[in-house]
Amino acid sequence: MSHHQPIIEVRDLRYRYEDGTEALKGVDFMLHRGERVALLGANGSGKTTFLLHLNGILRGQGFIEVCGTELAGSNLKWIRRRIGFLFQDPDDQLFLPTVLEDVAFGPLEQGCTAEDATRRAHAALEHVGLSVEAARAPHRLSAGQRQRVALAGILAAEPEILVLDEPTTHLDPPSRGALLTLLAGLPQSLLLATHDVVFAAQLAQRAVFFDRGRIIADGPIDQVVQEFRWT
Amino acid sequence: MNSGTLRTIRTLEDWSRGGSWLHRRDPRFKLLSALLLLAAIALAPARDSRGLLLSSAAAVSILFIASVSAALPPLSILARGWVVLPFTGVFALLAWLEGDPHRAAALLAKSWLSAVAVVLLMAVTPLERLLAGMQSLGVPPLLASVVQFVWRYLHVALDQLRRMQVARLARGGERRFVFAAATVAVLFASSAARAERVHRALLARGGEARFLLLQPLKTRPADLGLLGGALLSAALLMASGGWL
Repeated sequence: MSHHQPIIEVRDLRYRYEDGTEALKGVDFMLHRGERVALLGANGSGKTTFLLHLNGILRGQGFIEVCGTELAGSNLKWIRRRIGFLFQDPDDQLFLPTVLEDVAFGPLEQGCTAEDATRRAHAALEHVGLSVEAARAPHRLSAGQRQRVALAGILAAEPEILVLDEPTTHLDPPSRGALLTLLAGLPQSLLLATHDVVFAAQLAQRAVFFDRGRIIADGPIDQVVQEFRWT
Repeated sequence: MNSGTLRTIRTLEDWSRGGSWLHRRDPRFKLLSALLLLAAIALAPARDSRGLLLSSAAAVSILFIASVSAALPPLSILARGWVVLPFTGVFALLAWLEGDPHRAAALLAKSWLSAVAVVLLMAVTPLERLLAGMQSLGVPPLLASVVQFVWRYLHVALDQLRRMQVARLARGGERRFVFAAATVAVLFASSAARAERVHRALLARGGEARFLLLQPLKTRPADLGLLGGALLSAALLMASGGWL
């Protein structure tokens, strides 16, 4: 796949929650390989709902293509290997008794041997600077460390795209800075939903602005922020 | 209550990461040994006070020696068995009120000793190894996953409970039953929402409700030695209860 082809393409995506709320009202979006895009917008504007469609956790109407393959019920597992999803609250994501086992979860699920999964988990923990915590229980770590372990968990699965949903919500400034440095050094394409405009501006070149289930602006992040006075 | 529970859980976690001979045993053999001991404690004949006293003393000695051999503080291990007494205490009280103090004492002693045996098992076996052992012995993976999730998210729920209690006190709320009931209701609702989020995260990471092991279980000759020791201990308990 060339650098000019989209790694994610979404056309006319619509979704309605069971209570009747129309969360997405025809979203069109493209992400190119190596690109970093911030998703901005008010609470309830549809950012998280949109992100949860990219790996088929929510299934609405419309067209979604990831890494050249149209998302369908039969290829969800394949798609989910391509997308590393970092959730807002690391406690939702870290469900195994020790850090090492949690980080090795993705590789093991991909069919790696225990040795290979362990090697990848150690490498990912090294990357996020938490090798020494491998044997600890996730709940013994600080919020910032837990978020980095969650990131290690998705890096160990070697995804092509990173999707981050409000990753700085529970972080203090040093942890936020550490996460920023980490993310800035990663080669993956990146989608970031956040209210932290400063954080987003340091990572992403482009931003899209969600409003009541629609993308109403798409362009350089400084312009989008300025247009909506989103600071 | 919650901070005490958290403390106990964390202490057990720390203990379970030890490196003693008992820690290194195959979790399946530790489980079988614990089950043997539990059966012997429950079934040891205690027809009178002397029988009960002898079998209880034998059980305490076995658990004490096992704790010491695992480099764990034996008195702390024995003390943590008290956690079941508020529950069995009710039945013991009923038996005592019905004029059967021997049955009441047996209920208390046997439930306490059983709890100590379980505490010891958890203190020498990390949870993931214990669950792997359970699955290997035929416990359904779904049940093992439920235990794992409960253990992991108990911390999160108790922490949230603590924050809610602080917030209620800060707003002038008193420690009334109605507030406690409302707190539990909110906790249930937020736990249900978290369960949904955890499931989404599980799916996003390509997982299912099963967990694969990084270190496969291996049986060594020493594991058979542990089982032999447990068999002997069980026989001793049965014999001591029967005055032999």
